[in-house]
Amino acid sequence: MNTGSVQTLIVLREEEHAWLQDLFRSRHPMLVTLCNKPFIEYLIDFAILSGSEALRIASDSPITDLENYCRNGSRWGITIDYAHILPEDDQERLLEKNRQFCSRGKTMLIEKTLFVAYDKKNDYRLWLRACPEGVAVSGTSGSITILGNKQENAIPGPGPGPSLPMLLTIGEYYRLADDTLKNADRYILPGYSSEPDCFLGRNVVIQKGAEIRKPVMIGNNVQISAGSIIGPGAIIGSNIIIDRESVVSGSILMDNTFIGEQLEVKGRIADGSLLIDPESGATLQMEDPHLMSVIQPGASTKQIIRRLIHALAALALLIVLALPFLVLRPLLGLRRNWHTKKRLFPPGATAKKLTIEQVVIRPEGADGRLAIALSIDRYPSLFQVLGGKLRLIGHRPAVSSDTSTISSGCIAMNPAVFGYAETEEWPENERDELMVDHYHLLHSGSLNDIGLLLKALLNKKHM
Amino acid sequence: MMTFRQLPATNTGDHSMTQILSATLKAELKNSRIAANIARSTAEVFAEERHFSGNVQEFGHTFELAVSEAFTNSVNYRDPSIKDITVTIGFEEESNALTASVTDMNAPFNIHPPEPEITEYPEGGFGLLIIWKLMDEVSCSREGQRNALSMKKFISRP
Amino acid sequence: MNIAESTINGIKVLSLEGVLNAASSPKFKAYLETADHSGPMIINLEQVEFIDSSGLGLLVRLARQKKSANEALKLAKMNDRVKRVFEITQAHSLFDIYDDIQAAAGN
Repeated sequence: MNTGSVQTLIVLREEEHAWLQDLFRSRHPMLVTLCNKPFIEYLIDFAILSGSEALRIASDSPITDLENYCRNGSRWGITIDYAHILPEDDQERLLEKNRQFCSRGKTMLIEKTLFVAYDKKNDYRLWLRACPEGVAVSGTSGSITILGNKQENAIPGPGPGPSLPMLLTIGEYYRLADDTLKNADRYILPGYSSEPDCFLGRNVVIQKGAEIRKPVMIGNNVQISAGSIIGPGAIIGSNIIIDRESVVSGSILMDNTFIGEQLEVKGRIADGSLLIDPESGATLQMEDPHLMSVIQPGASTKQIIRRLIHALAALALLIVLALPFLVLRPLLGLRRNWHTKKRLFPPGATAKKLTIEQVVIRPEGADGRLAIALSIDRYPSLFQVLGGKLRLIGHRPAVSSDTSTISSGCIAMNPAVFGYAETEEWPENERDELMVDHYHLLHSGSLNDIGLLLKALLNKKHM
Repeated sequence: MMTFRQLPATNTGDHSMTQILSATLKAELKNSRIAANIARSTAEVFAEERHFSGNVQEFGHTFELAVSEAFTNSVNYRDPSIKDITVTIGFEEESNALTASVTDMNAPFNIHPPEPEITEYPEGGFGLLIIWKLMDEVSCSREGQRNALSMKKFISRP
Repeated sequence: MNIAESTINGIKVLSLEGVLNAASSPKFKAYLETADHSGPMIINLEQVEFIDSSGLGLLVRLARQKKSANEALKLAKMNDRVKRVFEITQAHSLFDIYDDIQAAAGN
C-alpha cells in the first residue's frame, strides 16, 4: 500500500565505519559527535527536512547504545524503529527484509553514510519529490537512494540537493568539524549563539582572565580557568574542565575531558585520556583517565592548617546539627530508614585500607527528607574528621558502588565526608565526579574548602 | 497455592543495601508464568509510581523476563527426585531501584557461567546471560539450604 | 501456545501465538519432531507475546538443523518484546529477519 508518505531507512554495517570505532571505542560511530552533535542527529535532521515521518535504523551489529540514545524518536518528532540485517545481505535482500516499512510510500535509503551536508534553509521535500527513482547522491562516503517514486513527470530538483563529504579518516573528520563550525548557520547546532561563530552551552563558567576567540563552540558544564585561551577554532564538548593558563585552539575536545594546567592543545583531538593528531592519525594514550597533571602533596604546614580548619568546621557542624541529629536519628531508626554500609577505601588497593562507614537514608517521609536536607546522614562521619581520618570535603567515594571502575592510583588522597562533586549539578558518573574532585584538590585552599562545603550543603541535587 | 504476606525488613547483621527496605512482598509459586506476570505488573506499578522517565513497559518486560529465566533455572537445576518444586519470588523496593529475588532449595550454583558462543548455535546457556544483561546488579546468597538470586534494576542514578 | 501452519508460495509458514517459555516449548519441540518439516520455513512471530531463553533455544536449534540441511529459515514480524530477547543474546545474527511475510516468502 502506497499512501504517499515518506520514510528513511538508514543502513549501518559494522565494517563501514570501523576507522571511527577504532578511535572512539566507547561509543557507536553514529554517536561520535561533530560540533557537539552526534552524527546520527544530522541524519535524523535531514530525514525530517526531507519530510520523513518514520525512520528505521537497520544494522548488522549490536546497536544498544544507539537505540538507547534515539529510542522511539519522540524527541525529534519522528518515529524511529530498528531492524536487523546480516553482513552478507545485499541491497535487494535488505529491502526485502524491510518491505513493510518501505511499502508505506517513498523511501529514502541512506547507506554507508555518517554525515549528510545539508542547509536547513533549503526545502528538501521539494528536492525529494523531484528526485526520480534510483541513486540520488553517491560518493565514497555513502549514498542516498530514492525508492518508490513512481511519478512520471519527475523533474530535476529546484535547488541543490544534499552532499556527502569525504569522511573516511580522522583528518577528514577534523576538517569537516572545522568546516561545519564555519558554516554553522546551515545546521541545527546545540548551544546558545548570541553572535555568529560562537556557541555556548549551559553552565559554562569562564573565569576572569580567560580569553575566548571565535569561531568557538562550547558544550554544557564547562569550566575554563583563569589565564586560558580558547579558540580560534576550538570545539569544546560537555563536562570539561580546562585548567589554568592552558591554550586550546584549532582543536576538538570530546566530552568528559580534563585539560590540566599550562597545557597547549593546538590542532589536536582530545578524548578523555586519548590525544590524537588528526593529520598523521597518531594517537597518544595517557595513563591517567584525563589529560591532567599529578596531584602533588602540598607543603606539610599548609596541610596541617588545612586539616585543622577541616576539624574546626566539622566541630561547628557537629554542634549545629546535634539537636536535629538527636531528634531525627531515633525516628529514622524506628521507621527503619537508617542503614549503614561499610566499605574499604581505596577500592582495589591492598595496603593501607581505611574502613569507612556511610549512612543511607531514603528521601521518604518528612523525617527522611529533612534528614537528607540537613545532611544528618553524614553526622557520624564528622567524628572521623576530628580524628584526622577523613577530610571534611574532598573526594567522597560513591555509596552505591563497591567496586570502583576508577583506578585508585589517581585518587591518592584521604576520602571525605562531603564530595567536591556535590557542589556541582552536572556530574553523572564516577568519572565526572572524579574530574571535579581532582580539580578542587589541585586548587582549593583551606578557605575555599569552607565555601565549597557550604555550596555542597546547599546543593539541590545533594538534597 | 499462592500466599502473600507482608514481611518486616530483617536485620541480618551484615551491611548490605537490603536492610534499607521497609517492606517486602513474597509469593511461593509453582508456575513460572504467574511469577513472571507478577514481576511485570509489580515493576510497571513501581516504575509508574516513581514517575520513571523511561519506558515503563520495557521496565516491566525486564522483570518479567528475568524472573522467568530465574524460575526456569530453579526448575532445571532442582534435585531430580523432587517432582514438584516451589519457588519463592520476592520484591524489594528502594526509592530508586527495584529488586526481584527468586529463592529455591537447590544446590548452590555459579552465577558467572561462561557466555554461550552464539556463532556455534547454542541451544541453552542463555538464562543467566539474559539476567546479567537486563539487570544492574545480580547476586546470589546462600541462606541455610536456600539459594536466593537477587536481581536489581535502577530507575535512576543512585 | 498455539501453532498455526500455512503455506505461502510453496513455503511452510508456522505462526506462533502466545507464550514461548520453558512450560510451552516442549509442545513446540514435539510439534517439530513429530511431522516432516523439511524444506524452507518461515516462522511468524507477530503474535508471540512472550519468549524467554527456552523458546529462543528451540529456535536456535531449528536454525542449526535448517542450516545443516542447507534449507532456509526466516523469521518474520518480530515484535519489540521478542526482538529484545534476540538482541540481548545476539541471536539475531543467526537468522534472516523480515518485517513482512510475503517478502520472506519471496512473493
